[in-house]
Amino acid sequence: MNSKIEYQTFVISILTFCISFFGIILFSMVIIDPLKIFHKPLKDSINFMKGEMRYQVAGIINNYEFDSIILGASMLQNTSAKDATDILQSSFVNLSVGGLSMGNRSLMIDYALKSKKLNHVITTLDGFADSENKSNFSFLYNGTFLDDIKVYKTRRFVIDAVCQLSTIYVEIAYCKKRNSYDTSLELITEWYSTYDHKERFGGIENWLKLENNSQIIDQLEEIAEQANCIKNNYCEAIKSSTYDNAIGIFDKTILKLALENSDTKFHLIFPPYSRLKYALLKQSNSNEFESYITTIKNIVMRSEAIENISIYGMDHLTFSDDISNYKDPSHYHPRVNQEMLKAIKNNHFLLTSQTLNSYIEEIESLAKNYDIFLITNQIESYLRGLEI
Amino acid sequence: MLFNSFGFIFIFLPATFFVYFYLRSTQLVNAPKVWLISASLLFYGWSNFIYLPLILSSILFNFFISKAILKFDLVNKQFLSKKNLLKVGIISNIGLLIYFKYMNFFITNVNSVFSSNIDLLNIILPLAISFFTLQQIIFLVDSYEDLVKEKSFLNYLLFITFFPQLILGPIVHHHQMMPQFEDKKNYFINYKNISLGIFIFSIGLFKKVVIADSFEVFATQGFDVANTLNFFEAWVTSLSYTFQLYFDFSGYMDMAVGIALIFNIQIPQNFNSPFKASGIIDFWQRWHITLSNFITTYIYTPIVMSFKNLNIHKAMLATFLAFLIAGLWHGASWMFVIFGSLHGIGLVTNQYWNKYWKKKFKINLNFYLAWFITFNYVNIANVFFRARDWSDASKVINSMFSVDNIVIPSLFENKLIFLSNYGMVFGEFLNNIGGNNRTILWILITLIIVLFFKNSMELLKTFKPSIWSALLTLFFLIYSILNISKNSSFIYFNF
Repeated sequence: MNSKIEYQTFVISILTFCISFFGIILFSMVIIDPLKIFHKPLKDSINFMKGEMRYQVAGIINNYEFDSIILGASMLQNTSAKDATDILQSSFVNLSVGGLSMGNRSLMIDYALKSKKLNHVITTLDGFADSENKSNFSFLYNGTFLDDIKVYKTRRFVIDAVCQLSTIYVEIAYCKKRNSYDTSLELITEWYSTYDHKERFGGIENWLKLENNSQIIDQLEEIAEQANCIKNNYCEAIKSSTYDNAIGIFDKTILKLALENSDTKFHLIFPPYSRLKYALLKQSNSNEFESYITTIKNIVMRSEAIENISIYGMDHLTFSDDISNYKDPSHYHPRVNQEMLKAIKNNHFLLTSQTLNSYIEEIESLAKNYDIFLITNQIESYLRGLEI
Repeated sequence: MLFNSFGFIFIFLPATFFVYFYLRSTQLVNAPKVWLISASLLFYGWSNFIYLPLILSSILFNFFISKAILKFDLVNKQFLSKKNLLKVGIISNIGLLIYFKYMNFFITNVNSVFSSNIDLLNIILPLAISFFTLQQIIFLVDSYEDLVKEKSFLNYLLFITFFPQLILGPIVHHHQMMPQFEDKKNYFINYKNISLGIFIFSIGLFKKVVIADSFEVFATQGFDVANTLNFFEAWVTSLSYTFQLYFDFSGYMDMAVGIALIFNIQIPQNFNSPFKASGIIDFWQRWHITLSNFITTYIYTPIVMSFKNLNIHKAMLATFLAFLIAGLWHGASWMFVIFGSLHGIGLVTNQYWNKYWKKKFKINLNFYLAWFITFNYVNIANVFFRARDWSDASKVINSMFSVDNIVIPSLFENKLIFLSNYGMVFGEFLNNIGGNNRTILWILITLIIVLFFKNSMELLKTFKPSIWSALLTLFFLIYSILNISKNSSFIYFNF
């Protein structure tokens, strides 16, 4: 067979094939739109991509109806949008993303505020260590259609698109495994129901009996180290703190958004980590606890005159003392999320200039007097077992 | 702007091409050049417009110096003689390079030696400064030697800024480029050139996106992330970087040649299968050829000319010094000085071998042994090219030559279990750099490709349009474009 062709034929065939191939892919991606950036899904049963929340949030904001949002990190992921809707009488959606920094949170809240009229924004006051890279997804939150198309140059979304299209006919095991068609809007953020998380609640023994990865072991070792230094009274001062730049970041993000959107009520909650966590910081004389207190004071005082901001502190409540309410030193049971909604509804646990000093005195005292060793001795014994 | 980006491939290149040839068809003389210059400046300033004034000032300055050199052609004995003007031009260009590239290096070393505390300057290295500076020095020398008489600023601007070769070269002479823009045959769309251009561009894109970027993962892990490396990890790290560097740079060059061809412009070859070299002299005749030519003509020759009573030993000293400077040209770091010195020593040794030792010892080095020594020497020198500092370099080099930390793939445990008596361990042998058995396979395949296959320029010379070449081009293009998922810059952008 003579396979020779003319130069002109060569050029035209290459260009035609390439333009058609990439044109069809791009067109198909916009039609299938696995992240729902451009439109609602072709078929109702196609659900949301939980593993891609930094991208997925843009799609939900663009194409779904709501007038209030819960948008934080893992501390708010278990807050039920349905409960929030019932309790606060507004149409809520929970768009929280695990590990989302305050900077990126504010990027998303800002986009939601520009896209819709929002009655309530609920977020937690955490994520101040703003080191998270946002260049991969920030283009979805600038309101430019041509930028939005760029999301589908990412190869994994092309695979997700094929998977989602296939669900119209059949569910493919591979697609199910890669969470291409994941979950409903109500359950999109929650992590509590996952076995590995759920089973850790109920007491320190449950933390230790499950299989712990290196990240958890590192965390346990850190607790043991802190406890050991408290026991032996030789704790070294730690200079860096996750709250070092908190005030500056707060001013540039949430405070700015609240000032620009006076019709929207901002409910800001200091997430109630376990007493163990604060006690370890306080008793080891870490400056992180002092930074935390300074942050609370500054944020409350800065927000005092701003009518659409309410700040809540729940660190003084007794559930923080009981480690069975936590799956690790920070993450609490979903019933705490529900208590937060009730607090918002009833204006409970509000931090104001009047309540601030007594609140701080109380949480300092609780942290100082908490018996950490009941828990840390068990952790030390567990870690010794691992060494053997 | 990167050649390996969607914006470049789908928007910038087609738009520049179609408007350029449309303007050519209108018989407007300057409009196509103005368009190409504008597009090139957009290409240069895409990521940061801040250095556009710098490159434009540099171009303007050099153009006026060259005009002055031509004007003062006959005034040899006055202060503003041709020679003095050339000196002013060269010193100014080198001064610019020193200020932007080496000032902070100089201050750091002064602080270190004299325990002083001089503040570093707030300087960001302007993109492509090392390349457009060298190209302009060549232009001034060509003007001085009456090899070029460029009177049009527009032409000179196009010569320096023509986007396929603006950022990373190749470093070209005026007479190699500009007559092609004036040649009326090149005013029209040429399907043969477009075919060749697309073909070579697709190979370059594949080299960069698929091969270089894949090896980059192991090189980065080994140099920047891993605290310790075992014997195999160290070798895979260094080889990965050697292949990354070659495919990254030669991929860029292929793309540059391809894009220029689409505009009917031929730019010179910069690589010719360097890893097939059987000596360091041979290597530098195949690697970054236009830089090697520059080093020979503009660094080595003036040093040699400055010696009185020239002999072979002085010529070797000149070779060593030229490569020391060439090493430092790559970047402001002692690692580049070591890299340059190693290549200088390699070249000197190679010269002495060819001229004296081969005859004296009556040894005719076997080709395969010569290749083996050359390849490994280049690979070891590249460790210093990549390392940020001495500790990075020594981490890799020490592990490459330490037999105390050999981890053998568990695949061989049954057959080689006796080696455990000698302290060798079986297990995940590339764990610290994120590699596995397939990594070794990729290195072997890549080695076979660079040693036994035709290089892209040889393929270009024998290219004939056919169904098979179309399928191959489509494969390279589509597979590469589907793999463009990040802003992967080119290594030489740092220089």
